[in-house]
Amino acid sequence: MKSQSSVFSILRIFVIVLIMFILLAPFLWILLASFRPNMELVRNQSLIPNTLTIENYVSLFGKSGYWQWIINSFIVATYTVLISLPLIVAGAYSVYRTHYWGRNALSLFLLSVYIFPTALLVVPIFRIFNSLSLVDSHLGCALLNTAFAVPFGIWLLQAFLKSLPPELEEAAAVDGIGRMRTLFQIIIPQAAPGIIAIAMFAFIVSWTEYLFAMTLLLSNDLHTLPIGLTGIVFGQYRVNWGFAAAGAVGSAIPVFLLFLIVGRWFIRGISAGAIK
Amino acid sequence: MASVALKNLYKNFGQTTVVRNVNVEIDDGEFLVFVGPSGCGKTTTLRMVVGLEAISEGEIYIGNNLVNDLPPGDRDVAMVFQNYALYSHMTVSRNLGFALKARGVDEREIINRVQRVAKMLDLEEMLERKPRQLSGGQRQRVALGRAVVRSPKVFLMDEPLSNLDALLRLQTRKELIELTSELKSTVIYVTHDQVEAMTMGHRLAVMNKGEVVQLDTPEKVFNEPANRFVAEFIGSPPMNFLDVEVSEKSHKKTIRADSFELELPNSMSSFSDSKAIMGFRPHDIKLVSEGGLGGRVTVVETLGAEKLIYLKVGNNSLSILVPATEKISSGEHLHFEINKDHLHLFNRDDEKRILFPTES
Repeated sequence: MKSQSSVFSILRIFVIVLIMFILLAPFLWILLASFRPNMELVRNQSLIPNTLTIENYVSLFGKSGYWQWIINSFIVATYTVLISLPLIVAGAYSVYRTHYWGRNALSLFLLSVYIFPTALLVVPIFRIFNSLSLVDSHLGCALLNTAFAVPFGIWLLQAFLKSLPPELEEAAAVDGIGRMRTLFQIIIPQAAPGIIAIAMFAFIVSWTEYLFAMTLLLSNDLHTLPIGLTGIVFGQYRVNWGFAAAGAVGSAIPVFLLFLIVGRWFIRGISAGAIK
Repeated sequence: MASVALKNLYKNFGQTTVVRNVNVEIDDGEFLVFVGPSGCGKTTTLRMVVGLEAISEGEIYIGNNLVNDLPPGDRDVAMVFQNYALYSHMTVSRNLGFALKARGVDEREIINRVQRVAKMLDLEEMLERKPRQLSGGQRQRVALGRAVVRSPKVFLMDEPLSNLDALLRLQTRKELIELTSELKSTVIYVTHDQVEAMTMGHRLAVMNKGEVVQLDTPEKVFNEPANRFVAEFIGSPPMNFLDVEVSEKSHKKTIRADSFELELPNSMSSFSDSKAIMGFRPHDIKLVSEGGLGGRVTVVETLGAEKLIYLKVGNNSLSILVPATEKISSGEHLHFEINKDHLHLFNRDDEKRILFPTES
């Protein structure tokens, strides 16, 4: 019995390591590639580097517009979070709590935003935003990101709200506390982990958005990180892989730090939404 | 404080009627308990009084005011929930004062009232703690305090003790009785626990299938149950029931079951039907060496001071309570007599208890 169980546990560890490797290998490769010269990467894509260099990072931090792109990305992402959170909270509370005709249909319809291939929307969006003078502005870009973050955010948050005991609101109602006060002083604080998780989600949606930023942000000094990086990575005759890897690491670091700070809430928010 | 009146109250969910024609008047300062099995409509009735559930038909008065259309917050009632519903992000002190603050009560007055209630409920040490740092019993007291601090006209409690462990429940029950009698408050209390109902209520409203089947003092409900359901639900262990035939034998009414005969007491001599359900409580018996009812012991449960004995009498399973000092083991043959003063007869058709002229 004992040997059988130890064989089983060795097997289990092996499977875990294998899965971890499959999941983490691409990230590891990118991290290692970012320290390799571009010419070596073109010849040899194996995981183990021959030579290590910080040349890619020197050009990323020193010679590119990295810091400007970071600031721009940060501005757009912050706008996105600030605009989408009130909409998500109001929308989720409405779907979860109030009763009106067509509520269920509406809440299902919300997710239909994601049905359309985004490439199809580029031209109409550009024309609409142009007529609203929102082209070439961070706010315009953030508004568009908001449109993509809000439906999923509502869906996620209403699942989180459903996991709160309904008695909280009933107790407030019996105590004569008005609906707005109940929302702001009871529901929102109780749902804080979920709301923070959704704020993170909206932030990342904006941080990684490429297509619409590319379309809407015309001036170089407004470019966000994904556009800025592609501009350099894809040179006229060759692709700079080493730099691309350094850029990927450089754009992941701010998000990684953000996760470290609020990751605890993120996990709790996601799992509440997933179980219920 | 105020009286409460429920008049012809109905609640329908679609085609299903879950509360049917409930008529209950609760006096000012009375402790009334709605008791019944789960799904009997007691919680729904309470929720209608609070205003968390719309009324399908009928009227609810608190004091002299018709409150049918008033929102919960305007009814001046306070509710204690089964899971306490404490605001976990607020300290105990903020939990207690929140409703007062929302109503615009003066800050100084809030502090005074919170302090007074905390003292009353022994929560003074915990005012700055969050609910998750409290034990179940302490949370329960905070929930109670949140109701008390508002000095409402009526307290409504929905199984507030059911999340506590047995010992704590006993203690909290006593504290709750003391507190409500000290405050002279009108209380409507919902429970499925008949012991809780018997010990706490001035009167019980026993509910079954959406209807109040008996509304009376605990003693009356126990000694003079309205029907078989009440007789079975109230009292632990439950009453024994036997289908019996009634006949007249030398001018005496006699009941007969498959394995025994029993002469009815004179007070029941007016009984005229030929069939009935006989009921007696497990403790209303006396062990005898022979005669009476006899049966084989199937299970012996030692309860401490008493033993609960399950017997097979003919085709019927009965239970009797005997002092723990009696040496009885399963398989043994046992004889007992029923105390005829506490014998009940129920109609076989509608299962109502048959009243005899000596009773009021």
